[in-house]
Amino acid sequence: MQRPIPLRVRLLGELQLVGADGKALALPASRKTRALLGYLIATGQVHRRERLCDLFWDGPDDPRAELRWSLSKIRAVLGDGSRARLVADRERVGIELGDALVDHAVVRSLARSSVSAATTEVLTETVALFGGEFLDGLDLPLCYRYQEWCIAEREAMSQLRFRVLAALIERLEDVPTDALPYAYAFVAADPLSEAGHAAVVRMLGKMGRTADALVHYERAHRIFEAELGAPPGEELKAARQALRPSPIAGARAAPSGAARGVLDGAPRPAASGPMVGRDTERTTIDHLVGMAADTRPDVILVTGEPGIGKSHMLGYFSERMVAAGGRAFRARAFEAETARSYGIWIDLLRSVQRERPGNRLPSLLGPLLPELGGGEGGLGDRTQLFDTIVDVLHGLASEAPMGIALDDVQWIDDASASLLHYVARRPEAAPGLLIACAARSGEVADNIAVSRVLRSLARDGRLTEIELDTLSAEHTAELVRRLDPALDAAQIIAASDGNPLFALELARAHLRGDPGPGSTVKALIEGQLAGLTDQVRETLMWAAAHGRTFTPEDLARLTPFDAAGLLMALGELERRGLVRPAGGDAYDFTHDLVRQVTYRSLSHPRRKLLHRHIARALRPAAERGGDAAADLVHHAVLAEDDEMAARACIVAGERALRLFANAEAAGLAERGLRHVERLPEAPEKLVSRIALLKIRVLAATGPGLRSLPPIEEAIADATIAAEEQGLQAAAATGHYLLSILHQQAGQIERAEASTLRAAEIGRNADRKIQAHQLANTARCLLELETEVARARELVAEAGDIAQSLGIELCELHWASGLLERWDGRQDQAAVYLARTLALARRSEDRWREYKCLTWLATLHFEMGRYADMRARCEELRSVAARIGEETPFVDALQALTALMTADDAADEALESALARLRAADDKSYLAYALNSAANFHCCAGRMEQVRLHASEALTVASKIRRRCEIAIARALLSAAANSSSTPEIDDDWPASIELEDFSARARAALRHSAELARSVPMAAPTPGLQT
Amino acid sequence: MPHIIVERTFEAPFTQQELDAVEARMAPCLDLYDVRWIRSYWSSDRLRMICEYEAADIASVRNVQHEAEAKFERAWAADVLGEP
Repeated sequence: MQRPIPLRVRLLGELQLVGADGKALALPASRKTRALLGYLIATGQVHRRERLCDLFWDGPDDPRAELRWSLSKIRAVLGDGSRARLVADRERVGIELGDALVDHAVVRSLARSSVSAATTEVLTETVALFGGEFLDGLDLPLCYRYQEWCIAEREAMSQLRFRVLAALIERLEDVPTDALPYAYAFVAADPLSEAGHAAVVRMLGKMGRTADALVHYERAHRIFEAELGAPPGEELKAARQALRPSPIAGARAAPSGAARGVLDGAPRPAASGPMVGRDTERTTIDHLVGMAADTRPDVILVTGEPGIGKSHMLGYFSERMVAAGGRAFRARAFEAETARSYGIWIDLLRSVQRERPGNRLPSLLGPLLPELGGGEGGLGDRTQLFDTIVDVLHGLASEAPMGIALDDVQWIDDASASLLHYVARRPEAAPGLLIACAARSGEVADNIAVSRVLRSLARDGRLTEIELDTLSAEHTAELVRRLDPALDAAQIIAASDGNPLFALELARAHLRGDPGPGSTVKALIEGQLAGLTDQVRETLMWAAAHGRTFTPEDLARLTPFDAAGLLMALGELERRGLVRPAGGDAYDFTHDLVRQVTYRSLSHPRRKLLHRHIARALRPAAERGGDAAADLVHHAVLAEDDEMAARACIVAGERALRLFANAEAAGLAERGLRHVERLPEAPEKLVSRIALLKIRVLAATGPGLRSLPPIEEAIADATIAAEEQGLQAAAATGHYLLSILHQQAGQIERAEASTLRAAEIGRNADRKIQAHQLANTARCLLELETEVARARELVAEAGDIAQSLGIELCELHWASGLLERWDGRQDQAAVYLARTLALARRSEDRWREYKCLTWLATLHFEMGRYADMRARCEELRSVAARIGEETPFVDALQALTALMTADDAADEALESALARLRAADDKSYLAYALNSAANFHCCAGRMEQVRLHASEALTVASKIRRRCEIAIARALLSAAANSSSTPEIDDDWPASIELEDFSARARAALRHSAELARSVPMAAPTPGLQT
Repeated sequence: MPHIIVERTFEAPFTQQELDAVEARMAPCLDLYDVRWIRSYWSSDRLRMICEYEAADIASVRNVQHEAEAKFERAWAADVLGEP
C-alpha cells in the first residue's frame, strides 16, 4: 500500500501549503489571516486567544471576533483534504500538523543540532530550502508585536542560512567550481558581507578567472564605499592580494589596492609642475584649445585609473585655455554627493561668481544658488533652468574662450549629467566654450546617467577621449628625479608600475628615509598620518568625514578647536601635501585617496559619531531648503539616524523636485521610505511616509524617467491610516496621489473619486480642526471644573460639527464624559470615557490614555465599583511608567478603597499616598483625596479626622481655585462643626450659592451638610442653598 | 505663586520652527491652567532647555506640557535666590 503524501508547507518564501494531490491550497485573501496561519504553523504551539489578539488585533473593538473570523478561514483551508487541522477551544488555539513537512521545522532542527556536524549533503539540501525570506510578503507593520517576532525569525533564519553557506564554502574550498555558487549566494543575500565577497574573489582566483575576480573585488569595493562609507577590510584585501599578478601590472583592471591607493603629488593645479610625458595627449588638447575660439568644439574625456594623472591633465587643459587668452573654471564631483542635485554645476557657477564678483549671475538661478536671492518660484521648467545656465556660459564664452573642467564625473548626479548633455549639445552652441571631463575608467560605467551622455556624444562624433596609460620607465624616472636627482629611480619605477602618483609618493617616502620596500599606498599615506600631531590628525579626520571641499568655518562648527588651532592644522596639512586650497576659502584633499585612507583609519563608532555631529551642524541649513539637504542625507545615513535621514530625504527630495532633478528626487524618496519603515509607529511616521510617497509619485511625472514602482497599495494604506488617525493634510495628500496614479492608469472614475475625496478632506480639515479645538477647550474647562456652562455650549457646538462630518473625536467623547459626571450620570460618563480611552489607544496617545484611565478609575471609585477601579489602576501604572509619570493618585485611590473596605493598614497607606501627592505637588488630586477621606470619616463619625483632612483640602483647593473641592471641604468642615459647639469656618465664601454651579458630587456634599445643620439647630450655619 | 522649573533635552538640535509650534500649542493651555511663563534658557547647541513658570502647583505645569505635546524630562518647584 502506498503511503499517503503528507502536507508540505513552505514558510521560507511566500507562504504555501501543498496538499496530497500536489496542488497548492487556496489561502485566505486576508494578509492578516495568512500571517496568523504562518504564525501558528511556525511556532507549532497552542496559544491563548488573548495572546493572538495582542499579536494581530491590537486596537479593534472586538479582537476576539476578528480572531474567530480569521480562524474560520483557516479552518476552511486545512479542512480541504489536508491532514493538518485547527484545534481551538474557548481559550486556546493551535494547529495539529500531523505528518506535514514544514521547511522551517527542517531548518530549525539543523540549528538545534549543529551545522558543523551535518553532512555536506544535508547542508546542500538545507540551503535549497531557503526559497526566500521567512513568511515573505506577510509583513504587518501595524501589528508590531507580530512584526517584531517575524523580523526576529527572519534574522534567525538569515543567520542560519549564512552559517550553512559559510560551512559549505569552507568544505568546498578545494572545489571552487562547487563552492562559487554558494559564495555568490552569500553576497547576494548580504551584499555587505566581507567574508562572502572574499570567498567569491578567492574562488574565482582559484578557478583562474583573475580578471573576473578583480572585477568582483572592484564591485565589492564600491559597494563598501557607497553603503558603509569605507573601503573593505583586511579579509577581502587579502583575497585580492592572493590573486596571481596580471602580466600587465593589472592596474587598469584593478584600480584599487596597491595601484589604487597612490597619493597624488602632481595633479594639483595650484602646485602642478610641467607635465612629464603625455606628448600625444597634450597635442590633442593643444589642438582642441586652439580650435575652441572658432568652432563648435568637442567634449574632451580624460580617463584612467586613480593616480594616473587625470586631474593633472585637466590642470593642463585649464592652463592652455588661459594661455590662449581665455578663462578656465573647474569643479569636481564627490562620491559623498551623488544625491546633491546639480552639485558639480553649483560649485562651478560659484567659482564663476567668485572670480567675477562684478558680474552678478541672474537671479533666475536662485533655486540653485540661494545666495543670489530670487526665491525658488521663478523657473517654469527644467529647460528654462538649463537655458539660463547655458546663456550665462555662452555669454562668458563670447567675451573670451572659456574652458570648463569637470573632474571625477563618475560621481556626478543624474541632473548634472543631463545639464552636461544640454550644455554640450545645444544646437546653437556658440564657439568658444570647451568642456573637459575626467573619469575613473572602471567606475564611469556604474554611473548610468553620465555613461549615457558620453555614449551619446561619442555617437555624434563629439567626444574626444584621452585614455591615460601608465608612464614609461623613462618618464617615471624623469618625474622622480624632479623631486631629487639623486633618488634611485630604478627601484621606484619597478614598484610604481608607471603610476605617476604612486611613483611620486614613493619618491617622497625615500626622501623621508622611509622607503618602505613593498609598501602599499595605504601604508604610505598612513605613514604620513602617523607623523601628524593629534590636533592636526583630528582636523584631517573631520575633513575626511565631511566628504567634500571644506572651509575653516565648516571645521570650526564641527571640531572643538579654536580658529588659531585650525589654521595651524590646515597650514601643516597643506605643507605636507595632504590638503590644498580649492578656490575661495575652501580646501580639498590633494587626492581622494588621502580622504579614503584617512576615513578608513576611523573605527565604525567613531565614524558614526563624526557623521552625527556633522549632520546636526548641517540640519538648520538643510531645513531652510538649501543644497545642504543632500549632504544631510549622506551624514544622517552614516550616523544611522533614521529619523533625521528620513526628514533629510524629504527636504532634499522636495528641493530636487523644485530643480526638476526628478531622478534624484525619486532616489531620495525611495531611500527615505526605507528609513521611515525603521521608525517606531507614530503619526509623524505616517506623515513622513506620505510626504515621501508624494515625492516618489511626482518625480515620475517628468519626461523620460524611470517608471513608477507599484506603490498604489502603499499609498492607499497610508492614506486610510492617515484618515483614521485624523491626519487630514496627510490624508488629503494621499488621495491626491491616488488620483494621479488612477489618472495615469486611465481609471478616470477612480481618479475623480480620489480628487473629490482629497478636496472634501481639505475642506473638512478646517472644520474638523475647529471641532477638535472646541472640544479640547471644553474638556480643559471641565477638567478644571470652571465655566461649565460655557463648556456645555462648546461640547454641543463641537458635537454638531462632528456629526455633520461623520467623524469621531477623542476630545469630544472626553468632554462629554466629564459633563455627564458633572451632572451625576456616572454610567453614561463611564461609557464616554471608555470610548475616549479606546480612541486614545488607537492613536497611541499615551498621555490621553493615562488621563482617561485616571478618570475612569476615579469614576469607578465614586460608583463603588472597586474591582473595576483596581483593574484601571493597574493599567494606569503601566501607562504611567511608559510616559514617565508618577502615580501617587493611584496609590491614594487604592488607599481610600482600602479605607472603605475596612482594611487595617488603610490609614497608614492613605497617609503615605497623601504624602506622595504633597511631594508631587498635585493639588487638585490632593484636594480630591483629602475630601474623599474626610467624607468617609464624616460618615463614620470621626470628626477630628474630618476637620484635619477637610481643612487641608480647603487650603489646597483654594490655592488652585477649585470651586467644587472648596465647596466640599467647606461642607465637610461645616458638618464637623455641627457636631461640636464651635463654628470653625470663617472666610469669604458667599453667603448664598447656586447649587447648579456645582458638580453632582459637590451638590451631594452641600445637601448633606445642610441636612445636618437643620438637624442640629445650634450648629454653625451652612451657606444658604438655592436649588 | 510658586516657581516651577521644567527641564528639557533634545536628541537633535531643537529648531526655532519646532519651538514656535510648541509655543503656539502651549499658549491657550497656559491660560486655562493659570500657568504663567516667565523665561526660558536655551543652550547654544539647541540640545537643552530650561523653562521657568509660575503656577499654583507642579501638576498644572506638567499638564500644560502634555497638552502642548512639549517634550520634557522633569518639572520641579524652585525657590528663587539672588533676585530682587
